[in-house]
Amino acid sequence: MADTRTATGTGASEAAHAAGTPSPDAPYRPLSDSDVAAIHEATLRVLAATGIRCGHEGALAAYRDAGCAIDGDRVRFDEDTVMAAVDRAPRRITLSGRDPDRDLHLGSGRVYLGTGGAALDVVDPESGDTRRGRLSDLARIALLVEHLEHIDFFLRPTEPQDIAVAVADVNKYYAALTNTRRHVMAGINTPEGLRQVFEMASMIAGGDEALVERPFVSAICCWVVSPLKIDPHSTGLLMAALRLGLPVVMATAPMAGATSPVTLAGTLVQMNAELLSGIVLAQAASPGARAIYGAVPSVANLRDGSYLAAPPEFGLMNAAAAQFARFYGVPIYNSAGLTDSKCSDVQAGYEKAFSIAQAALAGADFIHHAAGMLESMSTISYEQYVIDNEILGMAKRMTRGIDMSALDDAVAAIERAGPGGNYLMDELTLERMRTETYQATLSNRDSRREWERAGRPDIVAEARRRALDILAQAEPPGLDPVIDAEIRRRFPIEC
Amino acid sequence: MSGAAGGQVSLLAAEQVRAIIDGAWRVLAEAGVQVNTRTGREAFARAGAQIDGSLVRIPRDLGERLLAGAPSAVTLFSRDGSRDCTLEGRQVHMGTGGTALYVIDPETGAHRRSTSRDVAWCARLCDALEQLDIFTINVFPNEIASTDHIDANRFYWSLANTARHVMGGIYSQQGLREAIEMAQMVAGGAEALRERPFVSFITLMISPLKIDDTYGEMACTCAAEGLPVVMPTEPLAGTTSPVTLAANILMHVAETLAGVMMVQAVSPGAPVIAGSVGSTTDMRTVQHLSGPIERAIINAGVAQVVQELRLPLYSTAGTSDAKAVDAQAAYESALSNMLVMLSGANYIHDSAGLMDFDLTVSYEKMVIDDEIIGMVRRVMDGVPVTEETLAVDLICARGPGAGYMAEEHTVRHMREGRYPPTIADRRPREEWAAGGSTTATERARERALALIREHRPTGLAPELSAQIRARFPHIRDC
Repeated sequence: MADTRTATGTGASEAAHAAGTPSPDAPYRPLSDSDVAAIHEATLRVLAATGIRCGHEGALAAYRDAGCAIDGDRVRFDEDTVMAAVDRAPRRITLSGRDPDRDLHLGSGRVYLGTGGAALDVVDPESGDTRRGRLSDLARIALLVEHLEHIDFFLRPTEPQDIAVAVADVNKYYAALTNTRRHVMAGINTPEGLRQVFEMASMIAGGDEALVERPFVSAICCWVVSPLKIDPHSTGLLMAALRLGLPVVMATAPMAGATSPVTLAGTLVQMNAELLSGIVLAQAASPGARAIYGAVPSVANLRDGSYLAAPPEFGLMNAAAAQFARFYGVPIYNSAGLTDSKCSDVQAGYEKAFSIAQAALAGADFIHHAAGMLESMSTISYEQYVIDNEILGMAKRMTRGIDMSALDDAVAAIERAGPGGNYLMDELTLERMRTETYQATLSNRDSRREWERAGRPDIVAEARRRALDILAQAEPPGLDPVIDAEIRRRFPIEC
Repeated sequence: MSGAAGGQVSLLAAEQVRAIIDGAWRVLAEAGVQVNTRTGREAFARAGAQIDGSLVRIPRDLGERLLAGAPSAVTLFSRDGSRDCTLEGRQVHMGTGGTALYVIDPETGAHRRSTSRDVAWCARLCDALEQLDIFTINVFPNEIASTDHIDANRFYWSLANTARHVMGGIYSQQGLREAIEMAQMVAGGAEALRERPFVSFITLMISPLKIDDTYGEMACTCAAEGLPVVMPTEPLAGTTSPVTLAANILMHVAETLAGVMMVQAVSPGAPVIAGSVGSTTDMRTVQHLSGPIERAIINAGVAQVVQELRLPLYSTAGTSDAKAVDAQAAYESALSNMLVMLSGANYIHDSAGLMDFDLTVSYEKMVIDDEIIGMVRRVMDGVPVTEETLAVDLICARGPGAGYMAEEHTVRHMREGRYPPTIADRRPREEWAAGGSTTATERARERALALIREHRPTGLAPELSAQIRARFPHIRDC
C-alpha cells in the first residue's frame, strides 16, 4: 500500500470523474477559524488528560508503538503523537467503482452522496406495508440505486433479518455486487465474514493486489463506543481489514446529551478526540492505512434519551465536522438526509433537504444516509430513494455554484440584445442551457391545468411507480458467469 | 428586532463579486436602460446621464455618485414596534409574498380564486406565525372590479389584521395615493409615517433593462413621499437574460441599480431597496419556473453582490412549482430558503405559503414554511464555542464509558438554542400511528385553521377603522 499522503494506487485521472460534484472551496462554513482552533485545542486537552479506554491487546500494542502513554487500559496522547499520525494519514483516498467512472476520489474536493443505514424495516413497495428488511431488499435497492443518477455509492441500507448472522456478511456484499457497479460499503459482523468478503471481492477483481489497487468494496467499523471507549470486537475487525489493505471507515456516533456533552461544541470536541485517537491507531497498526474519518454526530431526544434524527443541529454538526476534516487534511465520511417522519411527506422533504444541503455545501467528501431513509434510522422506502435522488441532484447543483467562465460573452450578449431584447435564441442559451440548469427528474413542473388533466399525480405514488419500473426493466449487471459460479460454490450464497 | 445574520454561505469569491459589479456598470454605460417614465428620465437628465430618446446611459462615475446618497440601511417598521426590521448588511428578515391569484381554501381544500377575505386571513396568519417578520400582501382580491380600488382594499384588510410591517405591490397611481393616505391616517400624519414607515411599496422593472411608465411613476411618487420603495427585477435566465446564472445575477444588479439610481435622482437619500426575484425558464414550455434550485443560487449570488454595494436588499426564496403541499413543495422551499438565508439577504419575501409557479397561496404551506424558516434560523445561530460549551472539564471528569443524561451540564444547556418543532412529528412509529398516522400537511392545516380562528392580532381601533372606511367607501366587507 502507498505510504505517501496519496493513497490511491492508480493515479486515476481527474478527467474520468463522472460521479459527485465539485466543491473546491466549501461555500458553507458554520465555524469561524478561531472556533475550529478552539475545538482542536480542546480536543488535544481531552486526549492528553483523559485519553481513551482500550481493552484490545493488539490496539494497545499499536498505541505503545505510536508513543502513547499507556496506563492499564487507559491510553493518553500528546500533541506530537496525534499530529504525526494525522500527517501520515492519506489526504486522498479513492474508493473505486467497478468502472472507473464510478470511482469516488475522496479528498479531491468533490462531494459524493449515497445511501446508508442498517434499517430493520422496509416499506414494501408492492403492499405499502412496513415489514422487516430482507436480503432480497438489499439486492433490489442496489439495482434501484444503480439507475438513480445522483446517488454515487451503495452503502448497505438494511441489515437483512431473513439470514443468519454467520453468513450475513458475504451475502450482503454478494447481493450488492451483483446488482450495482457503484462502490459497495457495509458494516462487517464477523472475522469469518470479513475473510469471505475479501476473498469474494478478490475473485471478482482478479486477485488480492488488483482489489487493493482498486478497492470497489470497503468496510465500516464502529470501533469506538462513545464516550471514548474502544470496542474490542469491532477493533479486531478493523485491524484485520487494515491488514488486508481494505479502506475502512472508522465511525463514531456520539449523541449530544446522552453519550457526549449536550452542547454541540462539547460533542464536536469528544467526537474529534475519538476520531483522532482512531487515526493514531490506524496509522500505527498499518502505516498509510486508508482509514476514513467517520463522523456521525447526533442529538438525543432529551424526553426519553432516544435518537433524534433530524433537528437542525444534525446538519449543523455534520457541516462542522467537514470543516474539521479539511483542517486536518483528511477525507470525511459523514451523514445527511435523515428524517423523523414516518412517511414520505412534507416533513421528510424539508428535514432531508436541510441536512443534505448543509453537508454538501460544507464540502464533505462522502455523505451517507442521504437517500431512502425514513423514521430516523429505522426504515427504508423504495419510493423515498427516487424522491431523495431529486434532492441530491438539486443539492449538487447548489454546491456546484456559479460558473463565471462566460461572463464577458454574456455582457456582450446583453449589449447586443439591449433593453427589451430576448435571449431565447441566443447562441449562449443554446450552448449552456443544459449545463447551467439542473434537469429535474421527479419534480412536477406542469401547469396546474396539465396537472389536473393528468389526474393530479401524487409525488409519492409517482416515485413508487418509477422505482417499480426500474426494478421491472433493469438488467442486474451481475458477475462474470464463471466467477459467479465459483463464488456460489465456495460461499453460502442465499440469493 | 435586528434579525439573525447570514453570510455563512458564500457562493461567490470576492473577485467574482467585483467582476459582476464591473460588468453591470458596463451594461449601464453602454447598453443603457430604457426609462419610459418622464419624471425618472428628467431626473436622470438633471443628474447628468446621457439621454437618447427614452434610452438612458449611466456612466459609472455618475452612477456611483447617485448610489453614494442611497441609504445602506432601511428600516421597515411594525405598527406597534414589536417587529421593526432594519434591512442592512447581512441581517435576514422573512416574510410572505405573491401576488397569487388563487388560494387553497383551508376549510374545504378547494383551489379557488382569492378574495379580500384571504388578504385578511393571510395577514392574520402571518401575524400569528413567530418566524415571519413582514407581511407582504400575498393574494389578489379577485372580487374587486376596479383596478383603482384594489390597493385600498388590500392595504386596509392587511392593516386590520396584522401589526407587522405591511409591504405591497401597487396597482394604480390612485391606489398608491390612497394607501399612503390611509397609512398617514393610521400613523397620525405624513411626518409621523415618514419617521416610522410601517407600510412600503413594491414596483417593478421589466427585464431586460426597462423601467415601465406606470410603475416608474409610482416609484417616483414613493420617492417624493419619502416612503420605502423596492425596485425589484425578475430577469429569467434563457429568455429575458442570458442563460448563465452569472449573467442573470449581473442583469439583476444592472437593472435594480438603475431603479435605485432613478429614485436617488428624483429624491436624494430616499429610502429605496434593491430587489431580486429572478429565476430560470422551462425550455420545454418557455414558462418561468418558481421552484428550481437555480432561483436560490441566483438570489444568493445577488445578495453577495448587493452586500458589496452596501444597499439593502429585498430577495426571493421559498417558492415552489408543486401543485399539492407535498414533498416537492417541502424540498423546493427548504433548499431555497436555506441557501438565500445563509447568504444573508436582508428581506426574503415569498418565503412562506407560495406554490404553483407563484400563482397559489396555501395556508398550510405558510405554517410549514414558518417551521422551515425556524429551522434555518437555528442553523444560522451556529455552534457557540466557549469554555463552558466546549465542556473539556466535564468530558475529562466523566471519562470513558460514561453517560451524560443526568449531568447538571446537560440540564443547564438542554433547551439552549433547540428549535421546538411545530409541525414535525418526532415520536416513534407506534405513537404516531396511535395518533392517526397524520401527514405533516394535515397537521399544518389544523394549525393554520386554529390560528386563523383564534389569533387576535393588533388591528385598527374601531373609530379609526370607521374613519378610513368613510374616507374610502370602496373598501368592501369581507
